[in-house]
Amino acid sequence: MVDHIDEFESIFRRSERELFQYADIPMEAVTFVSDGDADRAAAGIAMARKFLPRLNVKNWRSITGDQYRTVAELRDVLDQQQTDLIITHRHLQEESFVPQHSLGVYLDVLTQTTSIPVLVLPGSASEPASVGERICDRVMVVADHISGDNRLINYGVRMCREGGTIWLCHVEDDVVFSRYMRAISRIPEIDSDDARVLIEKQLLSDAQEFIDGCIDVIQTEGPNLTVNGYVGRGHHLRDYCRLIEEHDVDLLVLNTKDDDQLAMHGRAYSLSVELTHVSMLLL
Amino acid sequence: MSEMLTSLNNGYGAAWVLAFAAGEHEVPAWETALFGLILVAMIAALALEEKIHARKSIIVGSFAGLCLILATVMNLLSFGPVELPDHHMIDLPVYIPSIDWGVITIILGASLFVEVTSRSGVFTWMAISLTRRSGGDPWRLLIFYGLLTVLFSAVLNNVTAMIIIGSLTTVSLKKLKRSELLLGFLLTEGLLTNVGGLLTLISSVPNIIVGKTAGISFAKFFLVAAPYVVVATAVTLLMAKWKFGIAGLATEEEKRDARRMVDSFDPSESIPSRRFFWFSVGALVMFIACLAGQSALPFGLDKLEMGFVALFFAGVVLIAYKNDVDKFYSAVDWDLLAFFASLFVVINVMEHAQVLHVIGQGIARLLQLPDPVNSMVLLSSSAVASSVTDNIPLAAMLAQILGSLETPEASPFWWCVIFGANLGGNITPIGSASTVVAMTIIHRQKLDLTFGGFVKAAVPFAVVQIIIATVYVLIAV
Repeated sequence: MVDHIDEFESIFRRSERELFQYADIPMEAVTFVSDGDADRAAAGIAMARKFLPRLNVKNWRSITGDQYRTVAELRDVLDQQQTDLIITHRHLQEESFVPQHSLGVYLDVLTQTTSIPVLVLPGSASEPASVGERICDRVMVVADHISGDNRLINYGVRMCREGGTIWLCHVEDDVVFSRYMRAISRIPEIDSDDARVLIEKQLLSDAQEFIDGCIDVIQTEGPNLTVNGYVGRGHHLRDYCRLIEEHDVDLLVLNTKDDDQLAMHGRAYSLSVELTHVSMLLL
Repeated sequence: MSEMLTSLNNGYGAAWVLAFAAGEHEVPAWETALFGLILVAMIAALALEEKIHARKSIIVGSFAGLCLILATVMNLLSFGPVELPDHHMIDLPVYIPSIDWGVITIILGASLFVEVTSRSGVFTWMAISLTRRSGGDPWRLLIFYGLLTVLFSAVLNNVTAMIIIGSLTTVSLKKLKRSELLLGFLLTEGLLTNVGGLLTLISSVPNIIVGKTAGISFAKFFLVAAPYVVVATAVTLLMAKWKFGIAGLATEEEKRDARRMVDSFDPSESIPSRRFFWFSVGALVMFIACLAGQSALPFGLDKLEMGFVALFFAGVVLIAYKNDVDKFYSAVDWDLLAFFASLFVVINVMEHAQVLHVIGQGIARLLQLPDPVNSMVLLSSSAVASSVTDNIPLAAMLAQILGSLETPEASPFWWCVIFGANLGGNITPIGSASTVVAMTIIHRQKLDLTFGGFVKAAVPFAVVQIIIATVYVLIAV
């Protein structure tokens, strides 16, 4: 009897769709955080305004290097400014750019302790890489669990230029999948072959259906964008890097916060420290 | 009714004279008492099924074996060839002719048919579609789920109906973030399964047993039972609204949010194949139509009876899964079928040991009470008895006794047993299989409801349903 109850509960849960809700994210003020002087901050703002034409924000502010000496001081200044978006570089207040597999102490803490999205420009604070003539019209949104993540997708849409293209990507990690399959293969009560096929199918179809729904909603209610989806199984870092290269992505949008840990969400961390040449919006 | 009782008494007496005239020897009182004790022990064991951790078929099967051995040793059974309608004599084990194969084939055919058609997604599609139509409003949702419970109990069986609606209730109320209403919803649905189980002749096993013994047709059964089911359902839903505080949504914002949440259910997801879906819908309609018109089937096909109709339609839908029928065979409730077969054997032995004769004398005295007291006592005592033990042996025994008393088909006593045996299941959580399912789902959801808690919550509903049934039997049957 319990088997039957569980069977029908599964049927009803499967019929439950995560519906995407489009929302045009309001943005009143943007703050550019620099570790240099006012001129460098102004140059950064000019570059960001050119890179993000659809932001359409009148209130651009800056924080210069002499306004803070510690992360706590930087947070105090940001709290006073009540900004909707922070734009900055990696390795603030560090003498030289040394590839040390981190975002620098300021960003490592900032991305975890504030709910304000942080847009990280390529290069480091001491050696910023120019985005040149690039305009943000190829945005890629990546997530471990894209289904139901309205906020992430809406930020991606908000950043993309009118007429641009946005990719919604979901890669199921092979390593994690294989680990669970190994565990299942040791449980006699579960048919391993069925489990492999059905679990993979369900994992991918959940994401695919959500993305299909997003495409419909954005094309109906959102701005004029081309929306593409990618759902697959593979190696997270390698597959995302490949997709970014293939589509010559201007901006990567990803979550960094994990509910149950203080450090940055593992996958986001590896992407954000590996891909120093791509602009990223960290939520 | 007094005239009928007089004829009953005459018929009753005549039946026993005939039995003795047919050569059955007189049974010593101690043997009858011994088998009476065995019957009481079996009913007690069935009531304690959960405690003794044994399935019904094993309990009753053991008692059937014991009864057969004792009855053979005591020389109570008649052995020898059995005469067929064409006067051929064949050898059959003594326990085979005692089984009512008409009942067994109806249950086997209907359960196979339901198992296959439910795979088409037709029932889950209906359930999800109505969830969307409710707009997520709790009161509308309770009405829709209540009506579906009644409908599914009528078409499927009470257990499957409770599993489908109970599962959807847990998923949808969690989605709507209204888990606090879960207990009220599940209890109401559990209570309505036994009301819906009254709607048709095949909706519950007591209906099949009593209806078949009384000779009530499918259509007649529906026409008599339907008005009661409509009234009892409406009253139960209104009582649930009041008792569990289930109210409609007040503000536009609440309605909008609830609508958005239920709109995320996609009914088409539960349909594996559109072709098979429509095939199942067509087969279901035909199945019900054939059962309803079984007695009017042409070319003498009515002689094949309802069991054949059920098996025939099960065979038709199984063709859709012709390479994969094993999983449906394994889904048949063999425990229930073996339980029935054993039960019929026990009842047959009890008849030979004259236990039913003794009980019949008591019931005959009860039926001789003035109208309408006799009907009221029969209905309420059937309800009380079926609230603490399985209603199937009760229905089988009472049907056998009423049959031996030559109770006419139009007698309200048949309906007293039918209403009592079905509605008695609403008094305690062990009173019916569907309330056991409701309790299982409630406990799976970690809701705190004890045996006593169930009785306290359910008794007002059961009492009102039984009072309505009594009044209905007295004025309408």
